[in-house]
Amino acid sequence: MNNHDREHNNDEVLIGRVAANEANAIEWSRFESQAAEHPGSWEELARTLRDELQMRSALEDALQGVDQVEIPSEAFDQPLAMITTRKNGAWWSGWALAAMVALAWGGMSVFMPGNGVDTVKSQNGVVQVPTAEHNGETTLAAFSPEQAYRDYVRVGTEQGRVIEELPMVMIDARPIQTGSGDPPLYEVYYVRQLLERTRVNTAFEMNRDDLGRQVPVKIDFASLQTESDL
Amino acid sequence: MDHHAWPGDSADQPASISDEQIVRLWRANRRWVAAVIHAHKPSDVDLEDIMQDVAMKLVRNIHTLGDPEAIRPWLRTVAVNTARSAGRKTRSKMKAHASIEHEQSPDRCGHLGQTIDQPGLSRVIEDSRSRGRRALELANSLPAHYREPLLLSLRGMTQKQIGEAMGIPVTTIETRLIRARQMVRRELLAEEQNVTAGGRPGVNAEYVGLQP
Repeated sequence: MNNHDREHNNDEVLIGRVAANEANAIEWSRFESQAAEHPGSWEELARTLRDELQMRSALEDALQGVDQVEIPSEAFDQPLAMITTRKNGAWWSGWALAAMVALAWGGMSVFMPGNGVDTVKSQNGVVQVPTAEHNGETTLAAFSPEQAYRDYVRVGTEQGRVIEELPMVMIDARPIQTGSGDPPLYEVYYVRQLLERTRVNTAFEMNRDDLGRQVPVKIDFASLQTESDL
Repeated sequence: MDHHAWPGDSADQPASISDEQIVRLWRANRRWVAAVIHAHKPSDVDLEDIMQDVAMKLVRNIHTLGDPEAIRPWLRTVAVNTARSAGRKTRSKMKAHASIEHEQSPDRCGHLGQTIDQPGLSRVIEDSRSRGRRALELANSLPAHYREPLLLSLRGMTQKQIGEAMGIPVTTIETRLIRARQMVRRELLAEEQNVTAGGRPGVNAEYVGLQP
């Protein structure tokens, strides 16, 4: 890029900032000095402003109504496990929908992120895990499985791998004997589900051969339906 | 549950965010989130449906956000991923606002439906709105890394805010905005010149789509 091109770009940057109403007093002063030498600058500014305002108005029309979209009330009424996100029918409707049971175990500390635990940080896509030295060995510092799971979801979402956390499915619940006067306690078995995305060249599914043995079978993507619920 | 655990700075007592705070957070950010969704969603998917999905994910996952200052880039990522993965079978509700304007008689002024005694003025207004719509169509056809910052800028975000949300330096945002506006204007001028010359709008051998 030569000096003329660089200067031209600087002029455009200045006009762009003025048109976007981001220019400060110094930049306005520079623009006026520039316009004194290049009278066409005012016309250029007027055209840029016109384009900006016309597009802005058209975008306001296109996005009409979205400024009134509120968080659905059921998002706060239901436990984390029961939030569904698709108004037009969940992709999992059918086999899993029948098995879903309302789970309400809020307030049980065992499921909450542990106190005194540093949040696992994600840097450049690499999860920095806190470590500790013990007897000359480096080990993972103690942090709760819930925290690890939440960090996995967060980092996965940031990287585009995790699409959605699906409702938990309760498999079993058993009462636990507590002392007299204590509130009832239940041991709950449940399945967590994450909708994730990745790119593969090949994939296999487990199937059974003629002898009933489980064998991996290559998936023929081309034979899958062209329109899926996803 | 009124409070969602938000890993805070204090190891002894993690900060929490209330439902009311989440609602305020959503209302403060939904305007530009809509522009991000618009920039990345399939054309046949309803924008408001995706907005609701993103709002739900905000409630569900806000507590996983370790640094409250990172809300903007985090929310943008959620919006982009949600928009891109929106169901192909979902059909959008056609918004008839633009088509209604086209059906109005030349003597009427836009959405107010009032008769203007100055047909020249109403024509200017209609031409301006039509040009704006066409400019937006062209903006929507830009590559995503130009389209998104342009739409966010039109939505009122500063270049610094756009850079923060997209994780890109402000100088890069400046450059992309300039190029985006240049491409849109270049195509608009070409179409207008074609119309003036008697050609069909949008047909120009030099401009086959918008090229960076």
